[in-house]
Amino acid sequence: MKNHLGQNLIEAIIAIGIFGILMAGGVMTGLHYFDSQIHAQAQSNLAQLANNSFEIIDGIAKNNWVSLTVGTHGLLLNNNNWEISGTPDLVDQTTRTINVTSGLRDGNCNLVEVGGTTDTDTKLITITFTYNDNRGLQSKSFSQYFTNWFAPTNCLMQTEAGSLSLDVSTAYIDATKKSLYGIVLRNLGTTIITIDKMTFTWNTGGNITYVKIDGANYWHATNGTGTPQGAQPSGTELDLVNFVLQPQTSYPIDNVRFDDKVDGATFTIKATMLDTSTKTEVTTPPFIP
Amino acid sequence: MSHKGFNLIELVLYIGITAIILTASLSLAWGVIFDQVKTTAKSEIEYNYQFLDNFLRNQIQTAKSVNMTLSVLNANPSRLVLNNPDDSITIIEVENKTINQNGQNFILSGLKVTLPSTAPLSLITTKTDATNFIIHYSALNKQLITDLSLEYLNPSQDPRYEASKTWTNTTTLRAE
Repeated sequence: MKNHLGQNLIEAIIAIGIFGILMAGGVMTGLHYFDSQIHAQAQSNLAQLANNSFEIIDGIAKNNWVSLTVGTHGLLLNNNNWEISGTPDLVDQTTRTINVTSGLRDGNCNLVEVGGTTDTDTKLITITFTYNDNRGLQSKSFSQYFTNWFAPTNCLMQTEAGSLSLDVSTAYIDATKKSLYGIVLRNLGTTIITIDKMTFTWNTGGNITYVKIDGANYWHATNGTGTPQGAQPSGTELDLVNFVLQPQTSYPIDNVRFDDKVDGATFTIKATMLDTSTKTEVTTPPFIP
Repeated sequence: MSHKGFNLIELVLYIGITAIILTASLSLAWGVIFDQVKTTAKSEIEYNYQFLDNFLRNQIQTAKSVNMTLSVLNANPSRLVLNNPDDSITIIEVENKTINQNGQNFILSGLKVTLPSTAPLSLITTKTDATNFIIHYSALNKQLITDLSLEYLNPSQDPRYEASKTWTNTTTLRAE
C-alpha cells in the first residue's frame, strides 16, 4: 500500500489552477470597476457638455431666433461669437450633432409630441453626442424646448383668453334638471378682459333659453338681450351683451337654462373674447337635486 | 514504495507552473494598481472640471452684468468681475500657490473666487494646475466664453499618470 504524505503533481497543478482562476477573477473585477468609473465619468461629462451646448443655443435663440432653422446643425465659434453651423462639430473627440425640429401644439396651445400644428415660436433642440471608447461607438442624446419669448407670434402672444379661467370643476345640474349651475369665470390677469360670445354644446335634446352671469342676463331668448333671439339648439354661438371681468376677480355663471332636461349631458363650453381669442372647457356635471 | 513529496521532475514542473501563474498574477495586479493611479488622476481632474464649470455658470447667470472696468478679458490669465444684483461684486481670478510634494516645492496656478464679504476661496484642489483661463465676452449673444485647462499635478512627469482637461464654458447673462 502506498503511503502519501504530500501532494502529487496533479493535485498541485489543480491547486495552482484554482488559485490562478481566483486571482484572475479578482483582478478582472478590479479592472472592470475602474473601467466602469471612467465610463460613468464620461456619461457625466456628456451631461455637462450638453448643459454648455444648451447654454450656447440659449444665447443664439435670444439674439437670432430665425437662425434656429429646422434641420441638422453644429455649433461654430466665430470671432468669439457662437453661431449655428450647417454641419455637426467636434468637441474633444466627441461629435456634437444638433437637430432642430419645430414644436407642435394642440388647439389649447399645449405642447404635444405628435399631431398638433407647427408653432414657429417653439423649437425642440436635440443634441446627440457620438464618441468612441473601449466599448465601441457610443451615443447619447439630450433634448430641450426653446421658445421665442421675446417676439412670439402664435400661441404665446398675450390674449384675453390667456387670462381667463373657465372653471367647470364645481358645475352641476340642479333639481329641475334644466339648469346648469356652478361654473366660475375668473380674470387671472392684471387688465380687464371682455367676453363677447359664448357657445354651449351638449349631447342631449332641448334648446338653450338664457345665460345669467353674476345675477344678470347677458343673453336671453325672448327679452331682447343678446342675439340671436329665440331658444337656440346645441352649438349655436350666442352673442352676449359684453361681459367685462375686472382683474383678479371671479364671477359665477349662476344659471344656464334649457327648455328640456339636460341631466347626464356632456357640455362643451366656449368663451370668445373681444380680441377673438377663445377658451374651451368640457364637463359632464353631476345631477345634484 | 513510500512517497514523501515530489521527485525532481515534479518539483521542477511545480516551480515552473507556479512561476508562470505568479508572473501573470503580478502582471494583472500591477495593471490594477496602475489603473487605480490613472483613475485617481482622471477623477481628480473630472471632479474639478464639473465643479468649476457649474460654479462659473451659476455665478454668471445670477450676475447683473460684467464689470468691464475691473475685468481683464481676452488674456491668460483673465480676471472676471461680476456686478451682483445687490451692487456687490464677485471676483474670479488666478492665484499662485506653492505646493510641497515629496519634499519638492511646486508653483501652481490655482483659481479663486472672492465673494462679497468673504475671504477668497480656492475653486480647484491643490493637486490641480489651472494652465489656461481666458475669458471672452460676446456682446452679440450676451455670453461669457471661458477657455479653461486643468492639469493633474504629476511631479515625476510620468506620462502614464498624466490627466488634463481643456474645455470652453459658455454662459448667457440672464439679466442683460
